[in-house]
Amino acid sequence: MNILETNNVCKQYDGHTALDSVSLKVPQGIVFGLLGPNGAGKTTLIRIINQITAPDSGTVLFDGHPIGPDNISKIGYMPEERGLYKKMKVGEQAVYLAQLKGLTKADATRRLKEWFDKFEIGGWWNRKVEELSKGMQQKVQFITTVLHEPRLLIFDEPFSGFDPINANLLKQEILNLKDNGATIIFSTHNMASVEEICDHIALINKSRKVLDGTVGEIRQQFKLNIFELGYIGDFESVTNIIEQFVSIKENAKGAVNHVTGELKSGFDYNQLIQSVLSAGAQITQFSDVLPSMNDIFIKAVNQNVNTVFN
Amino acid sequence: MRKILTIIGREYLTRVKNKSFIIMSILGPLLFAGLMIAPSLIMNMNNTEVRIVQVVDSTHIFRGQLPETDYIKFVYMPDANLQKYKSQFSESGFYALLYISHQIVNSDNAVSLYSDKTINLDLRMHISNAIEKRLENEKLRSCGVDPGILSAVKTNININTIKMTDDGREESDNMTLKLVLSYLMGILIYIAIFLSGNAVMRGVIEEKTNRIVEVIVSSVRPAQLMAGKIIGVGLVTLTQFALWIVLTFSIYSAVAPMLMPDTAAIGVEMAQPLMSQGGSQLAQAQPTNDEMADELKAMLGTVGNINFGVIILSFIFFFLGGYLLYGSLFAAVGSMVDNEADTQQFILPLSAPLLLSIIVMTGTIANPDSPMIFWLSIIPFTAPVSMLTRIPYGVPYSEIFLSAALLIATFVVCTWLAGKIYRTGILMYGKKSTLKEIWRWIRQ
Repeated sequence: MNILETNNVCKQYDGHTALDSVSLKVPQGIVFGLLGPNGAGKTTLIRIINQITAPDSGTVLFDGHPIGPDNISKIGYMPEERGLYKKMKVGEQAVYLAQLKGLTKADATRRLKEWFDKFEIGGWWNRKVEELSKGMQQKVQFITTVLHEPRLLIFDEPFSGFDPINANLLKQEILNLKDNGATIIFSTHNMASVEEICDHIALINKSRKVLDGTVGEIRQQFKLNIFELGYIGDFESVTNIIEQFVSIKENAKGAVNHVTGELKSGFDYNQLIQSVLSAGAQITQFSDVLPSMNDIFIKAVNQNVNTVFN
Repeated sequence: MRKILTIIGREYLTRVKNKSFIIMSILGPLLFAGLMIAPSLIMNMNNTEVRIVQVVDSTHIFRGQLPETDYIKFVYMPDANLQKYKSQFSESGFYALLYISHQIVNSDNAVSLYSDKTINLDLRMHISNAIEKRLENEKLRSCGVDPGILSAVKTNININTIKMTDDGREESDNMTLKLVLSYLMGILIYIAIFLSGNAVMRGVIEEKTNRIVEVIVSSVRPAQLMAGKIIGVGLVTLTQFALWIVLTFSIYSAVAPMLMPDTAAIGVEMAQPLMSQGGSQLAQAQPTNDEMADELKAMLGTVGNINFGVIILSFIFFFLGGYLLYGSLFAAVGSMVDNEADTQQFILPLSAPLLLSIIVMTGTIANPDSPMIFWLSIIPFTAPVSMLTRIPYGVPYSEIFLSAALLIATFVVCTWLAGKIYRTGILMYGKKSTLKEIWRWIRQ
């Protein structure tokens, strides 16, 4: 079941195309990474999902129905450009933002108290936002985003401006939200965090979707047939055999010899392993080295892959 | 709808709870009440002090001839030795020394008033009037005019301006009161529109620079946010006015009787005979008072003829209309920029019509029915100020309705345009928008 679908969404601004026929399917209950370089169109897409701007063409479905004002209370959004009213008291402000999401004042106050207790920030209630540190403000911002218990959460560059401790806390909270059944769309440049928490990603480049799939699938797609091999046996003879199948990148001699290499085209790992075994070596370790999301990101963007995976 | 109310509530409460609002609400009435009380208080203080003027008269024709009042007395010196009296002045205890030289018949500068204090205007006027009158009589008598004729030709003209209304009634008409009302309303509505428009603009810029606006427009539509802000700020301005009016009159009515018991009483006593039979007692006092009394009488007569209902309703309507028109445009300007410094280029052309109507206001007083002012009071951008400056002079209902209808139509169109600029502008960070871009936002 997809909580959110976009079908051929297009958007033009002042003569330049921000989104060119972007279709996404976001399954329920996952963390969905929306990746792309600056200016690719991520924020435009997110604004369309939040109904801040309307697409020129294409449709957005929420729970299988065209998205509308009723869905606003089911979505929580933390934009990249975010902030709070500086002169307003923390508690008052959080209640106000929750009311705009459709919560009653009493409900908002009760839930806020719970969150404030959880984050141990109960003492901030009557302080003005401008008196808080940046990190404290980010915590308040996060609480106001999730307070109305939205089914779909959208974080645009959530870690920008967070110190490592708060970033970690945020990561933990995002995973908690997922465990509690929420779906999270997560736009970022931070590839390390993508590998850690995303189940599914889509990469947008130059206003088009260039990659889409689960993290595992995509890494398989981009695998370069690089492997690591550990064996016990005669270093010289095995090296000679291996060289027929692969270009060796690293070759280390030791109690256990280690080779890192890239398979030449026309061969597969089984052929390689059989030859090594027939030379009388004992294999202690063999692993396929998958590219990091960072490598995939750079590669996909540089190649400007035009194939659309579905 | 509930969300708009929530937004209005926040805009209203945060502003009303703001220190500067509270300070203005207290200082304003204190200032206004002070302005109302001070003049009469100062006059009162001067009047209660008896001032004795030493008269050194080298012509000898004024001895015993200068009229005295309760607070102004004259003492005539036997000789005309100015130097002697001047040198003794500081010990003499007189308030002032009046010297009348021989040259009085030929020269305008023959009379001097010496004092170690600053001479009040009313004392100077009193003396100058008395001498002029006495001298005129002297000159006429020396030409052989009979004193009986002199008293017979004494005249005092007071022009009653009377306005004939369409239904044939005649109303006494006083320009002074209308002028004051006209000025007051024009300036008041100008300040109100301009300040609240600015407050809206600053609010929009605040939301943009705080970067909270995107969070909010993910919950409500930009039009709702803009409408909520404009209505909220408008209510704050109305609250401020209401507080000013109520507090000013409370302070005035509480303090005035304490500080100046006579004046309050005199006001009532003066009004009654004036209304009935022309203030003859006061008219005798002196010529300047005479004119003042006539003016006051005319003003009091006019008060009853001014249609305050129309004035108050028009004020509220034209304030709201003008404010909604300008408020939405100011909101659009706020959305186009990243900081207040960048607003100048937009604010100037935007406030030009308001400024024009304030400048032309002086002309309204000279001729409330001139074509220029008529058109300014019809054109929606100048109407709020110009129409209000005209209204105390009486404006046909048809013109008021025409002006009001045009104002409503323009405000609807402008709000719509402003809304289009606003919803795109608030999400543009870090760049100044060109007019060309803004035109595109409107067409989108």
